[in-house]
Amino acid sequence: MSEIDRVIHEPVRLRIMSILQGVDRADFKFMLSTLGLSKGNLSSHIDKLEQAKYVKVHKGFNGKMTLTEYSLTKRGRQALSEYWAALDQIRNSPQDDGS
Amino acid sequence: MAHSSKEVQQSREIARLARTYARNRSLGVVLSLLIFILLFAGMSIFSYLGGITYREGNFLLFGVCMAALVPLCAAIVYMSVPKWGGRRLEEFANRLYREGQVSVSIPHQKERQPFAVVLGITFGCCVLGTVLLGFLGYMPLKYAQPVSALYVIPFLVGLWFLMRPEASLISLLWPILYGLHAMLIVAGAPIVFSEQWEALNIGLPIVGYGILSALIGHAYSRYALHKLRRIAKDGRASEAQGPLPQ
Repeated sequence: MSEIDRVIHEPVRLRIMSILQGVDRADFKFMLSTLGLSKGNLSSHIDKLEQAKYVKVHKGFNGKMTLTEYSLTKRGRQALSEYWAALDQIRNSPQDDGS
Repeated sequence: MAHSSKEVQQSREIARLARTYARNRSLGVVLSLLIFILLFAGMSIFSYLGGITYREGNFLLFGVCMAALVPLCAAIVYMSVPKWGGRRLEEFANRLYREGQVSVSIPHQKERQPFAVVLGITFGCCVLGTVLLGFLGYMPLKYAQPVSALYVIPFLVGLWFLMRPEASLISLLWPILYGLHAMLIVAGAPIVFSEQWEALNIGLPIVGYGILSALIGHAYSRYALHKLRRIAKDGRASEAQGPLPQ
């Protein structure tokens, strides 16, 4: 049986990673409005993903305004693919008969 | 395990929708086309008035018209350079998106640069050739747009090719509509402007179809964002994901 990555398995973190998988970069405001989380909640999830080296934080400016953007690291991309594959494997395994 | 299956499905759908949304954010294109319309309209008006005042011998008003052309020309140059006006415009367009910023970058940008140069030079030569043919009287007014379609369409398709994956397939509506317009003219549809408005025969379809396809892209990006938010927030209603598979 494949190992499930517990960092990604948390629903909010899985969604953060999925959004970042689709785009190259997304900023804090976009994540906040898309996921409907509080700032603190989103920050703590991002921190965990950053600690796992799945997400990279980019600090910059849009004109004169500060901009914090996130992107998936190579490791994060691979971890997400493996997570999906692991879940697929579990779903298709013979033990998975719903009993 | 049905829960996991739904999660994976939703997770993949989130990635797909986020990409669709990011690739179709086209407010910047609408904005830049509108700015260029205003600048070129301003230039046309002042050039036209300048011609009239010069012929009437009113050199004071002629001078005013020429002076008005200088900032307009400077603005066109400023807006045309990506590092100057292009960047400012992008920053401004980004601020219009209240939901925040996302981006899809263009890979192998350096490798694509020679193709971009060749595309730009070829397009410029074609425009120049058409203008010369027009001046020499070899280009019937009726066929100005269909002839221009022969190089505008490959140019717009080439531009899309260069901007992939940042530009979505919806951007290809622009050359398709321009081509359909040309076919309608050749088929005899009464959509050709008279001599006084001659310039609109090419200008209006280029800008008009550009804005139309950008607006369609924008509408599609809003739809994708709406769906993305619905799915992304859906899972949060049942916050607990259930036990991990043993």
